[in-house]
Amino acid sequence: MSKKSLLKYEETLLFLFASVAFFYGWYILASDFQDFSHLDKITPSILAFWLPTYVLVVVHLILHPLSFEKLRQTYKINGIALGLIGAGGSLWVAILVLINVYHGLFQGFITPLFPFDILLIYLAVFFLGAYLAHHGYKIKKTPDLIFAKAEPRWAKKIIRSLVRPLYLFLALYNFGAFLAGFGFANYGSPTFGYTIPFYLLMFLEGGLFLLDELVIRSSGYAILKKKTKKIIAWSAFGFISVLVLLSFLFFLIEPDYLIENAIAYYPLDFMGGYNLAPFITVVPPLLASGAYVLSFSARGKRNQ
Amino acid sequence: MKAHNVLTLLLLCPVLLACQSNASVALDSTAYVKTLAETGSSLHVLQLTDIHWNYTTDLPTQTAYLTSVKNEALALSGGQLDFIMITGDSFLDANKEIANDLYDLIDSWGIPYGVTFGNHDRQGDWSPEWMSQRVASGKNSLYTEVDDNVTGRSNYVINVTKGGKVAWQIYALDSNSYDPGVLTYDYDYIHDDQVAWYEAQAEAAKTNNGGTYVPSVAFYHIPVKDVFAAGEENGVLSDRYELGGEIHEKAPYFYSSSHASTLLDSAISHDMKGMFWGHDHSNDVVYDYKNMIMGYGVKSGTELYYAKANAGYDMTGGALYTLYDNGSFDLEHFFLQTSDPSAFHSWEAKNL
Repeated sequence: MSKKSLLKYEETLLFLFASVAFFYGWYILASDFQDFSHLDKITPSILAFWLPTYVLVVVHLILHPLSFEKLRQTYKINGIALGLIGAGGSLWVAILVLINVYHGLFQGFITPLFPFDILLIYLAVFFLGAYLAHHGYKIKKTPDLIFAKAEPRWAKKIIRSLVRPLYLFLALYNFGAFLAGFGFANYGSPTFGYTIPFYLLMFLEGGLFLLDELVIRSSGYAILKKKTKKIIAWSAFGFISVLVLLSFLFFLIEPDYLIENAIAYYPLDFMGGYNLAPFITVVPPLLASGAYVLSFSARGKRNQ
Repeated sequence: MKAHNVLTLLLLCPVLLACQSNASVALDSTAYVKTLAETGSSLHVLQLTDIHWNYTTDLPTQTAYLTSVKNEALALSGGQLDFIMITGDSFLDANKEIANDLYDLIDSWGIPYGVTFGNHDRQGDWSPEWMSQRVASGKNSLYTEVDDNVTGRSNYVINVTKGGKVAWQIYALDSNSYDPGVLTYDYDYIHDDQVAWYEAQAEAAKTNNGGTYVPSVAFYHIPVKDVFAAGEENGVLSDRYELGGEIHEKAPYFYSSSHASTLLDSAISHDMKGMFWGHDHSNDVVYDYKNMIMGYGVKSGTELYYAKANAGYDMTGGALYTLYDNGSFDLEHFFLQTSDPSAFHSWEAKNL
């Protein structure tokens, strides 16, 4: 197995872990959303739960470097940053244990091993950061390094650099909620069936990100026939459109189905009284798959 | 099977799953009823509300605090605290470990208790079913949930018996959680079918009581819109409090649903003696409206947010109700401070 393939498997596993951790990070933040008066106590947990997302971004940058110099910078800068966060976080947790804000190293409560588990995350991140920084100083340019094409148009570059991270965060949240939700889904609800298209959209939001990251950006995909690619794009868009229509249809039939079955998934919505969940779940996959389809149309027109 | 048939079947699955119906249960069924025997000359009920344990809660501190509230209620009731009613929002963004800790604590007190759910009680990494089963499984829990077609989960009644006769009825009503809009959520309310359920139970009790309504009190979480209107009509919001308490929530003061509920009119016509709720942590006002006493309990603990009373103390503690055999009752709101457990404040109203 090549180093790049191994990294892709690691990225997939990291995506699964980061998504659940990202979701629970928001969950913990939501518990203090009223006045943020407990940030001293919960920030180490939230940061620890969001750190896998940062590592995921770093892995993406390593997998798809634009140039050798940028790859070296990715290793160095992010390695140092992760090392500092890991060291600082470990120290912070240790101090909170010592001054009895956390009642012992195995207090439990947030997780059964809390805060020992978040201490482990910080220590792991510290060592990972040290390794990456060290690698950044040692890495040498070799012929097997493949670099991604830089987007030449500035406007598109800026839009991509804004939209892609936003999509990633929404996808991570929904994918994490979807996975974590196996433990708390409202299976016995009479309206559970209505929620299935919504759950599938939560899954597909992250699924599309993985599809792009692992398949569309791969060399194997590049050699596929254009017709095959079009079929993939239209199938994704069509399936997502059907799910969106069903979600809307079921809302008309049973307006309470998300309240009945999805409160546990969207704590911030129900803290603030805002009905954001349907939008962050329905709009991004629809737009992403739509953009994918449009990209073929645009290319087709340019080719005519 | 052709592809379009498979697709049709897949699309129909959610609808078919959604069409499963609950068992039909008669509204006046005794399945909704639990019994509590009154052993003394009166029945003492402690209302705890909006405990709101969450990921930020310091468990040892809040455990000690709730225990001190229970102990104070025990002392105020002459050592005979008969029942505890928890009127919702026991949690907010918590996990099963936190939920188990709270209910284990309440169970450890050895006092029968009931729970009616609030809008935030579903905000945890549990399903509503898990929460219902957890509450019902407590060894001192009188929580009852019937697999029925009535809106909400925590709709049940506790018959307080003395000498083979039902002396009081304590109703738990589920004020549900949220009412969806396009961009925002409104709070939910007690729906007409729940009111019909209450009426059926009150009528059944009346029939068994020789044609006279059994004295009753009701507990729920979100104040219904009508009690706010009654409060306004009664001058509650212009500082003419009939019984006591304070309002520190900002306008609109009572955060109820915008939907009207028929509960208040029905309760008055069925001779209910009092109804009490939680939800708005900074209010503890109680007032009289058409011979019915109604109002807030006292927020139990400092979690999420709480108010300072005009006299400067934290408005946190409990509400104690003493139900007498003649159908009258007393109520006392008492306030304990987390920072200073010895400081005690209270106000009371008697012979209601």
